[in-house]
Amino acid sequence: MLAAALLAAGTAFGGPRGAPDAPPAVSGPAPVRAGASLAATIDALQAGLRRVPANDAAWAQLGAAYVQQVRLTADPGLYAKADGAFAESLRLRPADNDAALAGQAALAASRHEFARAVELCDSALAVNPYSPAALAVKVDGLTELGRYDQARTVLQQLLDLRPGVDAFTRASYAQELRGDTAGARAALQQALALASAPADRAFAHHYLGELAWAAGDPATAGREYDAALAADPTSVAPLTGRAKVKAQRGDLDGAIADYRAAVRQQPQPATLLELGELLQSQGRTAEADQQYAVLRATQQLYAASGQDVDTELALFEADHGDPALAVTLAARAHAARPDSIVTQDAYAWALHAAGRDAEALPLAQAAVRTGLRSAPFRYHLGVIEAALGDRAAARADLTAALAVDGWNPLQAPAARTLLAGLG
Amino acid sequence: MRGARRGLLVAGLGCGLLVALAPAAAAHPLGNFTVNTADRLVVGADSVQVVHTVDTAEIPTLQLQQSPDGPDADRDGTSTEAELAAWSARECAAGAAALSLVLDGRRADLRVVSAAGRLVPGQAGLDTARLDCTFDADRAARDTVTFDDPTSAGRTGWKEVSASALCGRLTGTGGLPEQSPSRDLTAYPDDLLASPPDVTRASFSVVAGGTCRADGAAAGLPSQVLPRGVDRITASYTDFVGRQDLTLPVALLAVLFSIVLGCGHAVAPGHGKTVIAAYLVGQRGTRRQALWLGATVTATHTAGVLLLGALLSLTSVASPERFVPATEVASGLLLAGVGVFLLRRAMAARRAHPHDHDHPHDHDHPHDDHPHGHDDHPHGHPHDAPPHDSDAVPDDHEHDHAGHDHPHPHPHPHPPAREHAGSLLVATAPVLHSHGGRAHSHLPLDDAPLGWRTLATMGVAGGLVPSPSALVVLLGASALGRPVFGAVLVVGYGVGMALTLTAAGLLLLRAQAAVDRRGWLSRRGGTALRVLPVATASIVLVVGAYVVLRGIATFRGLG
Repeated sequence: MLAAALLAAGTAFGGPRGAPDAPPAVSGPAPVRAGASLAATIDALQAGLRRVPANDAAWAQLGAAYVQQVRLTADPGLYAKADGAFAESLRLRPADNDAALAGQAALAASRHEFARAVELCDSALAVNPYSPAALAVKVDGLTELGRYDQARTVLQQLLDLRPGVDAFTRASYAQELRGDTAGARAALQQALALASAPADRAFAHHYLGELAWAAGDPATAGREYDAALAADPTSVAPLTGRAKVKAQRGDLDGAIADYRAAVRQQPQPATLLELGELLQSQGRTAEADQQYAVLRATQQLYAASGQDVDTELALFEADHGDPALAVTLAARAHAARPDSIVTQDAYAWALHAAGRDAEALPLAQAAVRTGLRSAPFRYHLGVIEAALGDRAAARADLTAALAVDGWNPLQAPAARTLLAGLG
Repeated sequence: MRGARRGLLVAGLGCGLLVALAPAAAAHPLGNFTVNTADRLVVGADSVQVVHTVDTAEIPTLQLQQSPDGPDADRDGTSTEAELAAWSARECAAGAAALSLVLDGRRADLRVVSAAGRLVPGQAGLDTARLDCTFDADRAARDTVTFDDPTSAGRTGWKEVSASALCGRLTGTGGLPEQSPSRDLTAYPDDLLASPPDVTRASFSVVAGGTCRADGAAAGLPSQVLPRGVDRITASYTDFVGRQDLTLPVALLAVLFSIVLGCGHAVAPGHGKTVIAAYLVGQRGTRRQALWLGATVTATHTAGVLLLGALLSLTSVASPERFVPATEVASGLLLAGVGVFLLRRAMAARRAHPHDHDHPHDHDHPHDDHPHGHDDHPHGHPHDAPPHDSDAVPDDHEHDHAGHDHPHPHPHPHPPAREHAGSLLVATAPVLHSHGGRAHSHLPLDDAPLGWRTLATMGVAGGLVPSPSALVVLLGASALGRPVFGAVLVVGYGVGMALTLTAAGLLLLRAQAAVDRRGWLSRRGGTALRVLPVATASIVLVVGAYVVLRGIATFRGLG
C-alpha cells in the first residue's frame, strides 16, 4: 500500500524532478458545495448515498473526492474506496457514464498508470467531449507520458471550456516545462485567486514557492512556503520547502527540525532523501544512513507490491547505493514512459553512476529539451558532459545548475568543485 | 453497516493491483506509513479505565527500530523480550503522561495497569509494531469526562475513541461509539461510505444508576445474561431508550413502542398463548373470560418481570439463568394441574351427558321475575348488556353458565336464539338439546362449571415465565440509570400483551360463533364438540408437562 501512497504524494508534490502535479481541487464533477472542504464534501456525499444509494452521479463524485483525498492524506486505502465507488456508479449506469470513466482515469493517473488514464479519458470524452474532469486528467496523463505538445492542445480545450483552478494549475506547469517562469507564476496566481479551500490555497502557494526556488529566489520561495503553511497547517510539502530554504540560509538545525517533522507525518522518499543528504553534508552519516534505510524499505515495499517504481528511488540508488540497481529501476521507469523528461533524466543519471556516460548523454540532453529550469537536470547533464570531455557544454550546464544557490547540500558543492576543476 | 457494504467493496476491487497488495491491507488499511491509535474508555463505579492501543505500520516501525528508545534498543536487528518490555513500559509511561483525562475539570493521574509491546511481521519482510497499554484513574461518583489523545497528532492513520459505562450511562457523547469499531485495531472495517475515523478527543457526562457489569470486556446490555436470545428490535429499542435524552415526546414514543413490543410478544407463538387459545375454544369461553384471561396473564407477567428485575438489580445472588427455568417449572406444573382438572371434568361430562340427554328445562319465566339482577351477580355474571329482549346489540348478550353456579331451572327468559350467537355456550346448544327452538347449552359444565379461579390459574401459568424482551427492556433501562422508566415500559409491555391476548380471544370466540351459527359442526353430528373439551384439556396437560420438562432440562443443562 505504501507504494500507492508514495505515487499519490509524488503526483501531488513532485516538484520539478518528480511527477507533475494534479491540483487538489475536486477534479471530478463539480463539488457538492462551492468552497466546502474536501472532507465536508465527502461527508455530504456519504450521507446522501446512505439515504439514496442508487445515485450513479453521487457515487462517481464520491470516488473522485476519494482520489483527491489521497493526494492530501497520502492514504492509499482510499484507492480501494474510490475504485469501489466508481464500480458502483458504473453498475448503476453501465453506459454513457462519463463521470465514472473520468474518475477511473484520475485514479489510474494517481497510480501512475498514465497510458491507461489517457485511454479512460478518451472513453469518457467519447461520451461527453466537454467533460472538464476527463480533459484535466488527460492533460496530466499526456504530460506524464512526455507527449507535451498533445498535452498543450488538450489543455487549451480545458482552458476554453472551464478556466478554473484545475485549468490554471495545469497551465502553470505547462509554462514551467517550457522555462516560462513568469507565465507559470501568472497562471498559479490566477488559480490562487479562484481557490477557496485551504488545501487548494496551500497548493498554489507551495508551487509559487517551488517556482521561485527553481528561479533562484529563495527569499520569495520562503514567503510562499510560509503562506502555504498558514493556509493549511497540516500540509507537509511546504514544510519540506521551508526546510530547504532554512538549509540554504545556513539554519541547519531549523531545517533538520522541519524535515524531521515532515518525515514524521509522511515519510516520503523525496523528503527522506533531502534530510539524509543534509545530514550527510554535515558529517552525520549514521543519522543519514537511517534515512536511507527507510528509503530502502520503501523500495522493498514497492518491489513486494509489484508496482513500477518511481524515479526517486533510482536517483537515490545512483547517488547513495547500488548503481546497477539504479540502472535496473530507472530502465523500468523509462521503458514505461520513454518520452518523459523525468524518466530520461533518472535513467541518464543512473547510467552515469554505472559508468555508461555515452549512453547517458542523449537521455540527459533530451531531459532538458523542453527548457524546464531544473538545477538537478542541468547538473546531471553537466556532469555527464564533463565525464565525456565536453568541457564547454559542461561549464554552461553546471553554471546554469548553480543559478539556484545551494539547491542541494551535497550536489551544489560538488557542482562548484567540478566547475572550478573545468577551469 | 460494515458487513452489508463488504460485498460491494469486494466487487469494487476489480483492480488486480490492489488485490495483490491486499494481504496486509486488512492489518493496515491506511498504508505502510500510518500510525493507528485506539483509545477505549470504560467508566466504572469508582474508576475510569483507558485501553490505549497503537498499531504502527512498516515505515514508522522501521523508524522506531532505529531509535535507542525503540523496541530494538541495541539495534542489532532483533528485539528481545527484555527490549520489548522496556520499550512498551517506556511508551506506556509516556502515554500515561501524554493522554489527558479530565474528570470534573481536574486532570486525573493515569496509572499504568499493564503494558505490552510486540512486533508483527508486515509486508516486504518488514515489521509492524503493536503497543497495548491499559491505564486507570480514580473517579468520583458524578463526573464529566474529557479525554484527549495527542500522541498521534500530525500522523496519518486510523484514530478512534470509544467509551462505555459499566454502570449507569454516558450522555452527551456526541455519537462516540461504545465499542471499538476496529476491535482495538485488530479488524479495520471496510465501508465505501465511511471515512476512516480521525477521532482523538471525547467528552461526555456520566449518569450513575443501575447494576454494574463486571468489566468492560465487550459487555453489552443485560441481554447477555438471558437464557433466550433477544430479537434485534428489542435490542435496538433498549438502545434507543438508553441513548436518547428523555424528553416527553421520546418517553411517550418509548411507552407506545413498549406496547407494540408487548403486542408482538403476545402474537409470537408461545405455550401460554397456545394453551389459552385452546382453552377458550375447547371450554367454550365467553368474551368476559377472554378479557379476564388476558388481564391475568398480563398482570402476572408484569409482576413477574418487575420482581425478577428487582431481584436482579438488588442482589447478585439471583441469576436469570436459574430463575427463568424455575418459573417455567412452576408454570408447567400449574398448567398440568389445570389440564388434569379439565380432563377429569371433560370425561365426567361425557359420561354425565349422553348425546341425547334431555333434562327438563323450564325457561318460561319472564325477565322481570328474575330472582337476582344480572348486573350485581355475585360471580360477575357478564350480563352488562342491553336487556335480553333487545335486538339492538345481540352479541352483547352473554348467557353463560360457566362462571356462576345458579342452579337450573334458572328463572330468566330466553331471548331469540340469534341473541345468543355471541356465546359459544348458547350457539352450540341445538346439537345438545333444545328448548323449544331456543338454543341453550350446558355442556360440559353443568355439573362442574369452570370457575374464575381456574381461569386465573391458567392466566397465571401463562404469564409466569418472564419474556426475555420485557426483562431486557427493564434491565436495560435500569442499567442506564432509569429504573422507574423501565418499570413503566414493562407495564406498557404488559398492556400490549393484554390487548393482543384479549383481542385474539375475542376473535376466536367470534370465529367459533360464526362456525356454530352455520351449523357446520352440527351437520357432522356432535362428535367434534364432545371430543373438543377432552382434546383441549389434553393439550393443556401435555403442554404443561412439556414446560415442566423443559424447565428441568434447562436446570440440568446449567449443571
